[in-house]
Amino acid sequence: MADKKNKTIPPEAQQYQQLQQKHELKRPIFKNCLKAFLVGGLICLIGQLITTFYIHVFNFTEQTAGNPTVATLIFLTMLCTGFGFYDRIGQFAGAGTAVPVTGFGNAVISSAIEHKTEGYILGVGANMLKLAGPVIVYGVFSAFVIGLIKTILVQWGGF
Amino acid sequence: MRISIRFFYVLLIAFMLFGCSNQSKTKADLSNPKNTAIDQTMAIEAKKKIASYKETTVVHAVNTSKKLFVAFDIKHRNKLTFKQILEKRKKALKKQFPDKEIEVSTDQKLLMETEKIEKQLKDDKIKSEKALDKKMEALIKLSRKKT
Repeated sequence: MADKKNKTIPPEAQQYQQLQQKHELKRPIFKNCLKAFLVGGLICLIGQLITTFYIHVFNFTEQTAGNPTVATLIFLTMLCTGFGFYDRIGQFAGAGTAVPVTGFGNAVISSAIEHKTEGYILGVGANMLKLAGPVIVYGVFSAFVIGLIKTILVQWGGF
Repeated sequence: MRISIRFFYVLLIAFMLFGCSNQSKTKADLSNPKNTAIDQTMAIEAKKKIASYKETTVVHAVNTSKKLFVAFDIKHRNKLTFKQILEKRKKALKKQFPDKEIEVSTDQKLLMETEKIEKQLKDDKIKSEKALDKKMEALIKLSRKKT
């Protein structure tokens, strides 16, 4: 398959590719994973602190404190994205900042900022969910599939 | 630099292992409150029963003549199955007190609030069963809140 593909590429390009492969820096996967784990964990720790704060100070239970915690985290992300701070953390931690809910907030807010010049309706309104839209669609779809699997297992599997 | 990174890894693993060794004894105040107007024997019996299970770490309970509210915490490794544990404990308590309205919870907030009421009962700050019933009703309402 690879040879077939290589035949269509001119020899100079093949030589260049070989050279490029020789000098290409290897991605430090373990280091990246560790960074993502630590920064993602730190974001979750902040979320846990906010939840604990809501439980102790306001009349929220563990179950009801979830929604205001998510809202607060997204609000904090909005500020961090606006001040250009979140992008720097994102560059350092990669998936560690994209996987938690803050990544979703960042996707919405950064597109809103980017398209502000095109106007509030056709710019911000139309493009705000360009990145986050697929997350919602596939999130809902995965929830539906998992719900279906759970129902099948519980109803007929006897778990 | 290398040594400091190694030291960091060792520290990380050590913290993780320390986290696993959190084996504390069950905390439950089984003394009878001074206030005799509101009998708390049922709550104490319920606390003894819940504390006897090995996964319980803390337990607090209050009761009126009709209702019993038990809040307890479980070991972290059992938190995945807390719903099943709650059901089992509720069933066990219902068997022990068949004619009472029983509510159980593992929520931190409810644990705190129940502890607060226990303390108020001990300090004789709740004078009548009506006042206690009002507080318990608020607890039950809070425990049923979903959003």
